[in-house]
This record gives sequence, structure tokens and C-alpha cells, in this order.
Amino acid sequence: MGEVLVITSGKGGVGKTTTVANVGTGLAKEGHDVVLIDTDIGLRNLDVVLGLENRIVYDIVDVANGSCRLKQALIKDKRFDGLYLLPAAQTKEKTALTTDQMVELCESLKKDFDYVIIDCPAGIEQGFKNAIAGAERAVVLTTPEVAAVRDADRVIGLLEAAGITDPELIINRLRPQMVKHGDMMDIDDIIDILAVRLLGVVPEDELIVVSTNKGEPAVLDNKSRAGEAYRNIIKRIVGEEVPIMNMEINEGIMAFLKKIVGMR
Amino acid sequence: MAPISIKGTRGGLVIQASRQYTFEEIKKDLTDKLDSARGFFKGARFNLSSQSKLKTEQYRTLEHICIKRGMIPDANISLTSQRVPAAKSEGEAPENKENVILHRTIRSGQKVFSNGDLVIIGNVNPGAELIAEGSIVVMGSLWGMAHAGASGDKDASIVAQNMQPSQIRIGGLVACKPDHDRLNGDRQEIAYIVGGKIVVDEYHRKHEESIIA
Repeated sequence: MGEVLVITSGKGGVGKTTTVANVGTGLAKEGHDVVLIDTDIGLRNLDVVLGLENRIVYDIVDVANGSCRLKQALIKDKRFDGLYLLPAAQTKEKTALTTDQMVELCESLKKDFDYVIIDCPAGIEQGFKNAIAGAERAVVLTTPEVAAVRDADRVIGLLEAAGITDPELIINRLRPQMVKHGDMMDIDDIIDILAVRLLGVVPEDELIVVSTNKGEPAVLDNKSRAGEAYRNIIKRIVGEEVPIMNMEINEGIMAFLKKIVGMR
Repeated sequence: MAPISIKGTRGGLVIQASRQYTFEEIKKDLTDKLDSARGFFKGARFNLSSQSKLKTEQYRTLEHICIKRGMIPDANISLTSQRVPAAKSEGEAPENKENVILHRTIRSGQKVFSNGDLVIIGNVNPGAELIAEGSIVVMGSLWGMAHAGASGDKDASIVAQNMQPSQIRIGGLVACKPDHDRLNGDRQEIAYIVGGKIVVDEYHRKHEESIIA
């Protein structure tokens, strides 16, 4: 029996889909059987980030309606045998799916996979309700911005009300340099408000843009800082104890020279 | 209107006793209604709200009738939209005040109501709302909105370990957080009304003043 995990944030654009793609790919690389469900009906993206958009025939609504069998709609990943995607429908609306159908879907996928990871749409309406309906565990994603933290707080409240207690937190797109200069909320500020367990911190990384466009998750790139953060997050999801990685970055030779010359 | 009306809300049941009937009539109606439901209400959370002038022991008797049938009292349940501020006449003691103590974080979008005093052991996050007919104490950081004396009590106050609310309301008055950061050095503070204005002061100073006075 696997575990159903939803990745959610409330606010849009904080990196839910990218996180789902990376965490899912990383878990599959470690040898787990993983299925990713895109519940963002009408605005599907997870297929693009994984580089699987050309292979979609059936989608989640087709499965729920009984237009196809569940196995027919699952798309196997290019790289890993243990990784599958259940894509969202692009031409329908969020209401095309009900919470009951979602629960049923999660129950049957749980039997065949170690991890069922749900990519939640932004917002707290029907799409969100569907996404969390079948989940047992939740990961809340935020960026170090006041608006994103506020929405994360709201979502944690809604998750608790739905019986998903003790959600875990990923702080995404942290810029250590800005935090150092006091221009960005730091990790402690965020934990102070949200009061949940920290699952990981992902630094801002330009390589992410390249990797999402290419459909190659950054978690596979050993040079990527964000990839390293995702690999740590995966270890923590599986249950290993890993310290939060040091966010200090090398400021580069110019900054070093400036420091010597006394320009800063 | 019957002596007792039972209304379902999201949080549970609100049991209202009408002021037009005597206590005996109210008691009989409540017993009849609950017994005719044959255990249907067992395990239900309820809040007994009475618009009539029930004495404390009469209120307790009614509550006990419900508890004996397996129901759980919860002062947190209210018909917010239908709630009428209790008309306060001189010399009438507050009878059915239920204080609420919560040991958790109140998050954005969550709303806590008390018809007595309200104590939160934990933080009140930005976007959360506290509403009490009495006073409010936050044993933690108050970042959200707090409304004390919600039915017009100007003597109500708000105390917080870390007072950083977006807005404070006491009785009919509103005070907004100043745009600059408030540096209070982790001191416990109290908000109350002086001369028709809400002021925020160090808690112990206000406390000492009241002892001297």
C-alpha cells in the first residue's frame, strides 16, 4: 500500500508543478514506484515539465467518466520505469471531476504505487478540494514573500479542517543573498508564522527555467543547487534525517576582490 | 416560535431558548425534543444560547439535559449572521457567558467567536479574526484582527504577548496598525479605551495604575 501525498500552496506561481516533477522524478530514480497526478484541469502543465505532452491520449476526466481504463491513461516516463503521469484534461473545467471520484482514483493507484503525488492547482476552490480529497499527507509550498506565506497559512488551516494534520513545508526560491541583506523573509520568519515541520528549502536557481523548458527535471542535474535541495527533500520524504543545507553561496571572485580593495 | 429551537450550523447545533416562555416550559420542550429524536443528537456539539433571562443554575440545568444525552457543549458555535447583540439593561448580570480557551495557532481565514472572554494559547496569524463579547488574551503573537467587546462593551480590553495586530476593535471603535513597524521589545501589551480612543500600553503599567486607582 503506497502513500498519497498532495503538493499545494494556495498562491499560484510558487513552483508546485516544478516541485512535483522533481520530487517524483527523484523518488523514481531512487527505485520507488511513483505516479504523478495533475489535477490542474484546464491549465495542465506537469506533462510539459516532464517532457511528456506529446504522448497524452486519455486524461484524468476520461478515467473518472469511465471513458477509458486507468492503465490506458497512465503515461510512462521517458527516463524511469517506475514513474508514471496521469495528466489533467485541458479542454474541460475543474468541476468535471468530483471529490468522490478523486478518492476512488487515489485508492486504486495506491495499490500499485509506492507514492501517489498530486499536483494541486492554485486557489482554494473545487480544484483544490479535489486535489486534497484523496490525500493522506500534504506538503505546503511557499516562497519567501508575504503574500505566498499568507496563502500557505490559509491552506494549512483548510488542510487541518479536512483532517490532513501536520502538513510539511517547503520554502522555494529563497535567495540567500537577499536574506543576508535583510531584503527577504528568512526561514525563521516563515516558520514562526506557519508553525509546521520544515521539509526543505530550495534556493532560487536559474537552471530551473532551462530544465523546465527542456522537460528535464533539475533533480537529475548534479550541478544544480536546486537539484541538490530536491534530493535532500526526497530523503526526508522517505524518512531519512538530513540537515537543512547551507544556503551561503560563494560570492565570486569579483566580490572577493572588492572586499580586499575595501569597496564594500 | 416554540420554547426551544434547534438550528444546525457548520460547527454544530445552536439551541436557542425563547424569552417568551417560562423556564419550566423551556425545560420540558428541550427534554421532549431531544428524547423524541431517540439519540440522534448523541455526540453532536452544541451551544446553548438563550435570549431569555435564564439564571445561571437554570442555564446549567438545560446544558446538563443535553450533556446527559451524549451531547458536547462547545461555546465556539454561533449563528453569526443571526446573532443579535444582547440588549443590556442596567443591573442585569451577564448570565450565559461562556469563555473560550483555545490551545492552537489561529490561521489566516479562521474565525474564533466567544460570547464571553477569549484566550488563545498560540499565535494569531495575519488574516485570522478573533471576536469576543468580553476581553481577549493572546498568549503568543497577535498578527490578525481582534475585536473585543463585540456587543458594545467599552470596558473590554485586548492583551497580547506580542502585539502586532492588523487591526484592533473594541466596542464600536477601530484602530489600524501604523504603517511603520512597531518595536515593542517583546513586552506584553494591552489595548483599551481611554477617552473615546483605543490606546496600546505596556501591560504592567496599566495594571499598576489600576491598583493605585
